[in-house]
Amino acid sequence: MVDPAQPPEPDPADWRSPDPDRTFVARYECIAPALCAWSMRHIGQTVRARVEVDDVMQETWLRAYGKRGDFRGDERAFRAWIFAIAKIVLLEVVRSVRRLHRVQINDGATSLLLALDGVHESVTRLTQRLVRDETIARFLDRLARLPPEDQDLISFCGLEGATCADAARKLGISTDAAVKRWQRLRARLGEEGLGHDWVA
Amino acid sequence: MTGSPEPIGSGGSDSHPDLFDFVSLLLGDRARGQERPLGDYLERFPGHEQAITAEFERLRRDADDKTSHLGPYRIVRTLGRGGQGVVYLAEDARLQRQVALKILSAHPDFVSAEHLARFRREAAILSQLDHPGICDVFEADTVDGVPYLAMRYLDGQTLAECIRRDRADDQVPRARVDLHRAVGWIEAAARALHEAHEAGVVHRDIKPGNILITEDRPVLLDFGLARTDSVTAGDTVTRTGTVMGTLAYMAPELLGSRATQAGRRADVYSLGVTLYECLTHRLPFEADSEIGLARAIETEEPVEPRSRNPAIPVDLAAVVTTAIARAPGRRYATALDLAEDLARVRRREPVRARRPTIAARVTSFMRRHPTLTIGLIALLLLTVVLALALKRAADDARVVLALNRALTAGRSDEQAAAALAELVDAARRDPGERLHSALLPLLDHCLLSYRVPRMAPRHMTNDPPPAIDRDGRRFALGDSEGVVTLLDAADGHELNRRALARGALHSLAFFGDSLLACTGDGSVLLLSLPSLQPSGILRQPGHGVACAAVAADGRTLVIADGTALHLLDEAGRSERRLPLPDGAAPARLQLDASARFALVLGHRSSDDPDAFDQALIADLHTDDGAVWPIKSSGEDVLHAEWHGQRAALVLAYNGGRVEVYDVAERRPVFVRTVGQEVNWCGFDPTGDLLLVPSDRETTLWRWRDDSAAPFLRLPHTHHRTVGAAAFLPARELLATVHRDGTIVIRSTRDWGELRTFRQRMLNVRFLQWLGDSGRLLTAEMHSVSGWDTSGRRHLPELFSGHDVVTTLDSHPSLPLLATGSRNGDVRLWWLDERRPPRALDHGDEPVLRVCFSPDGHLLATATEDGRVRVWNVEDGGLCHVLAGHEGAVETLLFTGDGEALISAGSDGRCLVWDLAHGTRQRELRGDAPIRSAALHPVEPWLAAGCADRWLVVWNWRTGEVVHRVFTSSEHADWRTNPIHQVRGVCFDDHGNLWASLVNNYLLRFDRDWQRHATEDDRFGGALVIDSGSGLLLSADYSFGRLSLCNETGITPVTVDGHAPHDNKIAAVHVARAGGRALSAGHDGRLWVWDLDTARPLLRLHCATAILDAVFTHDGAYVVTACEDGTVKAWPTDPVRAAVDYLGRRQ
Repeated sequence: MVDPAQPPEPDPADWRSPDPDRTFVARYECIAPALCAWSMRHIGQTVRARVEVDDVMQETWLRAYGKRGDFRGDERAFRAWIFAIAKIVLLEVVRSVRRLHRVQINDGATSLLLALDGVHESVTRLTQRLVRDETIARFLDRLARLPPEDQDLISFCGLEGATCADAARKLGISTDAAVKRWQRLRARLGEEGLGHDWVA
Repeated sequence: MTGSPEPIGSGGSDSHPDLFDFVSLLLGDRARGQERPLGDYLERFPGHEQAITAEFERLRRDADDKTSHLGPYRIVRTLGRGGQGVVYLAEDARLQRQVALKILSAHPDFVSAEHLARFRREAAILSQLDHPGICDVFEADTVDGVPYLAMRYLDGQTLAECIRRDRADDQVPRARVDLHRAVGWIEAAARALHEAHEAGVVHRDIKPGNILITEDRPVLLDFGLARTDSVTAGDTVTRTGTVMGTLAYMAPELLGSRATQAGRRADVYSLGVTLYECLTHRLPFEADSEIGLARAIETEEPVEPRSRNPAIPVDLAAVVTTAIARAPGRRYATALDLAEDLARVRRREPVRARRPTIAARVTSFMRRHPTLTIGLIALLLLTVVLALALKRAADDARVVLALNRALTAGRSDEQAAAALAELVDAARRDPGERLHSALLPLLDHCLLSYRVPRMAPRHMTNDPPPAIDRDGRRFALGDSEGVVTLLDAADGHELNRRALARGALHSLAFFGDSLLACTGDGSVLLLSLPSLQPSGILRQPGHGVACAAVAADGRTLVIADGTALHLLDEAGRSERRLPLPDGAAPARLQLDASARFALVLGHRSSDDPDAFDQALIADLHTDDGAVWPIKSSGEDVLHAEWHGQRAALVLAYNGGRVEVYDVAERRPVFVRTVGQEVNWCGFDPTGDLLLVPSDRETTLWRWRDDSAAPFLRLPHTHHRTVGAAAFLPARELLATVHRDGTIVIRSTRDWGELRTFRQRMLNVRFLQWLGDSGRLLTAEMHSVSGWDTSGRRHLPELFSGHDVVTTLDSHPSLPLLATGSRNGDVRLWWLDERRPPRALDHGDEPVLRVCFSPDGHLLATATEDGRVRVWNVEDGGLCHVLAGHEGAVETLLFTGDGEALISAGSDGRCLVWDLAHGTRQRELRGDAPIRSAALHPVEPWLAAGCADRWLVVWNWRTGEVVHRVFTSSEHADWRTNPIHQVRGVCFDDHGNLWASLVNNYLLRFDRDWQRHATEDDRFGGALVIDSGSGLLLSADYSFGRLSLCNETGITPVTVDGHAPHDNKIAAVHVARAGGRALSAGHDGRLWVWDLDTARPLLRLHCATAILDAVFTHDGAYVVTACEDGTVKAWPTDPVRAAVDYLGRRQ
């Protein structure tokens, strides 16, 4: 029985929902583990000395949240959109770290690059929880034992949600090869209990 | 992408997500030493050429800035790149010396903590090691966050470069010096590795690329993956389960789900692979992918090094094989052991490594070639199976060949018995149908006959006919060489032999109790029995004795010379002399039964030994005028036979004239000319009938009546003219042997053929019974044969040639069989042939049913005209003729107490007959033909299944209807729609009534007449119950299917999943002892089933459809009646029968 006094629960799949904030949060939470894993994989030791994974994630969230009104698309497009933002954030971080490295500035970089005041507390808690999540750690550990090409393929297709054709172009391989390898990898991850629902 | 984000942040147009991917991939490639040209990246990221080009330049500039100087070191050039970093040639500005500078990564942004820790550990490890085969470390530090390692610079080539160079030149080391050089390098590397191991360091990445060949010695490089013994579980540098090293050189135990930590033996393995590559320029495992390679290393055995480079010495190959053994335990325990063995190879001393055993090599081969192995094993198994099958077929063929030889070539009894014994063995091993089938005729043969091939030379036409002693236990043979042989009549066994050296023997005769009289060369000699020692000479050679004969009492010997007949006693004393007329040329003497008259047959001018132109009668009791001629025709006499009781004899002349000569009247009293040559004729044991066989028939004449027509004609169904014949009065048998080799045994009661068998014999001119034993002796052109006709109970064929027998029944307690034929012939057959068969005077109506009463005293027969006859089995007398049915009677049932007989027929009536008075006791009327009926085991109930689908149960004592049920849901006219007829009815011991319907229903009515129906296409035909087990054997209507049923379920009876018969099942019958049942069908097959297991015990195949079949009373035989008119008795256990026979022989 639906209580008429209570507003209906927004449908996360419906972007025309009257409460886009709650829909956005629900969508983000779905892909946040993948974003966390992706960030952990791409942030090297030197960068991490200045920027933590959760900083990158929260910066990504903040930028996406600010632009949420401009987004139109389905779930797959949302994942790609978030990762595009994350890539730009991380690219900027890498460039800044490189500059800092060259000029031997050892101060913390977060304050210079990121303004995280607007991040909701719930997002912060989510990020902090994901960073400590052992399932993501195990996933990355297994990923690190794969050949580099397979690691990249999983990153593109499994985390970012890119198509095999897109991943194939970036990796310089044929689409057929990318499709077959991705299917094989996905099956192997599934057999090893690593086929999480946040893997595309 | 809709909603694709605009550039965010401060990067402007050069901040695009693809730029990040480009940077990430480029740095990754560069870290692995696989940086690609710019154009390659531009192709991958179209649309961002300008930004990517700029980013590419920026990153290169950063790298150059970072690597041109590093702290106090100036980078000169790159020496090499690896997964862990780059090694540069650098100059130390402080000490002005060249160093090898290893930098973990040119881009510290992407150096993980793990790699950094490993780098630092390598520095620490190298600083601990001090060995000329391990590179020295000068310094380890970090500049601007870039960790580096300064090591002694050694000029040289890595072993990988050496191999690559030689491989490019296609120079696999073949010369001993090249091999020893490689061995020396690996030996030195092994000693250095052992040093590291002793220091607690496991290299974990031994490979040609990490062995530098300097002018002095090989040096181990790159301890970046090395592990020390001090590593703890919490060490994050080398977490347990993390695979380190280069896959192709990695030991199998480091791979897979059960991977272990690398140890010394893993390094030994890697060094062994390195040695393998040095010697062969190939790797022991090769695959298209890393996954395939890992699987090969983990699961397969390495390819033998000598198969890739035969120049490798055996000992060196053994060292390599040991070093790269898949099981760590089979490898060298230490690198030093490897080094020592390599040193022994160089010194040509025996190595400790041993070549793998044959078993190990086979195992290795199987692991390397699993598919081929499976194929080979399958081929081997197939070969074995084929060999066994061929052997079995050969065995069968050998047995069948022996069988054929024994049966057709006239070989000895021993050969047939040997074949039989072999067949018994084979049948015991594999009791298959074929062997059983083969056993039966061979058994038949062995029981039937023996031959005497021992005579030397073989029996010839001119040899005297065999002589048989009075009781038929022995017989004697003589030949043209003067050799006398005494044989056992039971089996033809030779008892004694003697060469008399008197030329050809003319005649032989047993004389008295222990003498054998022999004539030949004009003399008469007496031989003692059984020694055949000469006991007396009655006439010396040259006295002209032509022939001799012994009287029936055996006490008087008559000899004939050219002038007189001489009667001699046992002592050789002459009792009487009877002169012969002038011109007499006696050749054969035949005495009548009273020994008063002698028939003298002679050759006056004839050259044919079997044709006599002289025939004289001599009265041995009269001294004067006692010899006179009796020939009434100018033709030669071919055969003469004395009457058994009277002074008369029959003569057969050439040309077909036959006459009976009465000695008392001294004239022929019966003369007939049959127009065909008669080789034999004779009187029956009664003396009333004269048998005259011709080519196509044997005629029986009442010669005393002088009738113009024969009393009886016995047509020769398959045989030609009779060559010889003999009566056996004691058993009322007549044996005739025909010119085609067929021997026919007839009963003199009804002159019916009892037994016919054919052997390959030529010109049989002698046939006699051997006493009363039932054995026959025949003499033909080349052999003498004995035939045992007394073994009939073992012979399958009882008779043939009569009209078709359609119904059978076996006596409940005696070996007696009743048969009924289409021509109205009803006979009782004694299966052991102790008594002749008895023909019942039945009439001409086709017999539909014969049935013994439960006590066996009565036999009931039913004919097509509806009459039922009841016979006394003991004397064959007719007790009652029961007339009352208006149509054919198909069912006869004796009640359990034997007081009544119930007949059911196509007129729809069941009639109950009082057997005491032969009167109708009750009439139970149905509405349609009654197809089957059954009696309740306890109650006086009769169940009848009718064609109109009604099943009626009467009380046959009172005539009341106990129960009546319509078995179908359809009321169509049964005359036009017979599909629902009730075909089988029976009660079981629990009182259940079973009925099978043509429409494939099996109905069971329990004691409360509750109906239980089962539909199955195995039903619809006859039903028979095994009282002991309560099992019901049910046949289908027309497709040859069988099933076993009881209250709990139905078991299909099949053979290899198929129906046992191909056609309608004509008969099902349960042995009286229970446990076994038979089924016989129109397909000619007969099966004997074990009811406990529903498995076949025996399968027989008749040439034509089987019309009826029953077990004998003891179940030892199955009797079949076939459409070709034959009735055969088959032993249900031919193996046992054969074993019995062989036992008797021994």
